[in-house]
Amino acid sequence: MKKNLAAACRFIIDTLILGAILFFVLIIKNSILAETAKNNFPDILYSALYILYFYMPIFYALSVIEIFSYSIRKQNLKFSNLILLLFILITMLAFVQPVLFSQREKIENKIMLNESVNPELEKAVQLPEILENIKADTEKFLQDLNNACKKSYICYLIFVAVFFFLVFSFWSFTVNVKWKILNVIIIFALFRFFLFLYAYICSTENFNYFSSVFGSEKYARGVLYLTVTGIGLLLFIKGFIVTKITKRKKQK
Amino acid sequence: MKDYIKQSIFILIYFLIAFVFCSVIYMAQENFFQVIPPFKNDYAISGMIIFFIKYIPAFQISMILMYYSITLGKYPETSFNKHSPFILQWIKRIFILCIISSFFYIIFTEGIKPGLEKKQNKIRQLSVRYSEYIANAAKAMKSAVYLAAESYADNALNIWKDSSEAQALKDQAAIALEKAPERKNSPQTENNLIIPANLTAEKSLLIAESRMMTEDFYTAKYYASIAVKLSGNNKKLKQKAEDLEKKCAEKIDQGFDSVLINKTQKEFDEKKKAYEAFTGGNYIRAYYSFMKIYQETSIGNKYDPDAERYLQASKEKLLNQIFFINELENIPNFDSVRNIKFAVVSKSGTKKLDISGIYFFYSKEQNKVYLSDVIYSQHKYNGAIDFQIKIPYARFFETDVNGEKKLIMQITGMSRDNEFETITPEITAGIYGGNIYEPVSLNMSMEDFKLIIAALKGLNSMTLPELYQFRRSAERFDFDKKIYHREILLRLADKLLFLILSITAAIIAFRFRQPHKTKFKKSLLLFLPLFPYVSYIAAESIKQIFVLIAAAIVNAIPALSVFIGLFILIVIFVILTFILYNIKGNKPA
Repeated sequence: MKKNLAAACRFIIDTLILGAILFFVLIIKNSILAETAKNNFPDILYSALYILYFYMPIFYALSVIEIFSYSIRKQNLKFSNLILLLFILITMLAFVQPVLFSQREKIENKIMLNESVNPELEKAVQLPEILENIKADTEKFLQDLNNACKKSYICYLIFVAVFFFLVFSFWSFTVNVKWKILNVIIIFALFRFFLFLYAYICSTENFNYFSSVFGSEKYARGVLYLTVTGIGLLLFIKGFIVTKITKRKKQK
Repeated sequence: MKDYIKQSIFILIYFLIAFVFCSVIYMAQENFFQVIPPFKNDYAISGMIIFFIKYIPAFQISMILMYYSITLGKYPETSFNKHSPFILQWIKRIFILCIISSFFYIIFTEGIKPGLEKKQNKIRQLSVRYSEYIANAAKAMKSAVYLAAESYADNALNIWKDSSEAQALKDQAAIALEKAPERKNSPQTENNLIIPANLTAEKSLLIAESRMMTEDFYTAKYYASIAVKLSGNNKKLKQKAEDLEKKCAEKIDQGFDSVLINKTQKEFDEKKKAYEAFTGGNYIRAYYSFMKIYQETSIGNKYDPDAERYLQASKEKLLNQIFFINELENIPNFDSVRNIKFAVVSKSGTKKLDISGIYFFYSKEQNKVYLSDVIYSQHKYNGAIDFQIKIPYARFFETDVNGEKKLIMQITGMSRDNEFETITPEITAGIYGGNIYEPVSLNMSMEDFKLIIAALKGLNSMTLPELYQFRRSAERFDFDKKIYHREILLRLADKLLFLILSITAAIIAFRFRQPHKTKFKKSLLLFLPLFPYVSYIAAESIKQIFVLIAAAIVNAIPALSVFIGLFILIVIFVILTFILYNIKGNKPA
């Protein structure tokens, strides 16, 4: 029982840790940059929460990846573990995240943060180019997720189901090669690549082009979802085959 | 021992490959459009090295991850027991590696990088200047100012010797000049004086006496005064010289009415006035008067050594107050990339300076700095403005006042030959208390000024000692001290973070090591470039978090920020060391 729950517990703890780090960073950043005379602490707190809620889906994905990395090391990810992990991930995405998004809208009006006009300080805490790019790509993905949630719940569910299926299919890399560290590196790089690709394809300019090719925006999205699901399925199949082969080798 | 050699050769080759890899990427993304061809190689090489230095931590992390995750797979699980001799040996090795690589990293980041950044800055500036010269030369050619065109082309050639463009412009200008020779300026009158060398007291007294005989009292007095100075312990000689000097002074004061033989009354009056101006400290008056006398006598092919001498003396004195605008002609152009803004804060008030253009003139005797478009203002302690003046051109030089170095700013420029050709500051606010012909003394040294410029050029090109030095005086020049505290903290923290990340990488490499008795597939090496990429993202993210923490610490307690920031990192380092020390393998199944 304990072992079956391990992955799920890890997932929650990881998400909380990642959230806490971002929250901490945001609070520091806000309290440095905001003019403290005009802002009181609740404002800083709200604005941090506002961004934190927005970033939660990425943390779920990162937590899943972290569990995969851990399982590469310990090789303890069993089928029951995966099912429980999937269950908790679905709960988070389907029920908790929409609540967070709606909370976010409520906070939006409350934030009265005056950003500092100290350009030197802003420059000093500015992200380096590579992180800035990652941030932009991530935000594009999250913004689309948020918009889907605003549009309709079904839309959101489909969106989330497709993309988190892809993230979940990264599982196949946990059984990829014997050089464990490479598996971890590949998973992280792949996740980054996925974000980049998503931002690239779904940028307004490119997406308009795809829409014109496929007739309408709906079809273009449909094709995108199908492709992503297809890739996810392929990865799963690959993973299953590899596990079967290694099992057979062991039995021999 | 053999193992160590093998390992160091591996590391060396790895970093060489990394360097080549970085160079290729750098060359592919950099287009060098702002650099002129003669500097391209220098610029590219320094750019490559800077680019490589930026990625050293990522390469170090990925090296540790790859190397140890593979090599540890060679050993059976049983050798990875807690505190086993093998593990301790391995930890020792990791530490040696980390310390050596940190040492190299410090050399690269603190020793090599700032110099290269400075070099790149200079090349960029020279390139900009070169294209300005070419543009100006072409413009001058178009408006038929050939002399200016030639000098612009010459300046361009000074930067780039083999520039065909500049050479062509110069040739064109030269041809045009030959056709129109009248455009050439008349040669400038030079006031080169021959002052007799190896003067002794006796010799100068002799000259003085002989001059006295010819009723040339100015020269006589001059040599008599030299004799007084040189006489030293010879009291007899000194007395004689002093008497003579006194006599001459009397004669000069009397106005020569009784000894008017060769010269007209007017000439002597002029000389007397000039002399009085000189002794009264009005060097501007004295200089131009002596200049006039000197020019008049030299027209008549007469030689008036005292006019010449006093001209030289008054010129020297004058140049302590103002500068000659003729000097500005030799300045190719002012470097006006960025405004230099600073203030000199003292108890009495604040002197603020805003300089648009700057030009450094280095010579053996004195380093001078020419400035253009300076706004100089003085504020009271409470911030109220005393006055503000706009100075078209100014000159900086350094003097020693009671052993304390002070920067003198001359705010008025005058022509060398024409009294009425001046560039004077314009008072834009308040009442300027001082005399505009008097220089402004700033309570700072040339070294401070250079540091300010270095600071304005960007923190990257400042070395750690420069930062440390400037941090102390930053507040005096109205700079935000916090910037320098933070930069020092981040520079030091960068090295500690490098150590911390290396050790973290070692821990990760251990935990994700290859299982025992598995063969390493060579085809996996294709994925190697992924390692530095992911490592770089991870390293930058961690660094960024620390940058934020550092900014917060510096904001809260600037004075202790360096200690607190480093203390946090040292604690993390100790914790990681503890984890590394207690590392152990999986339990045997």
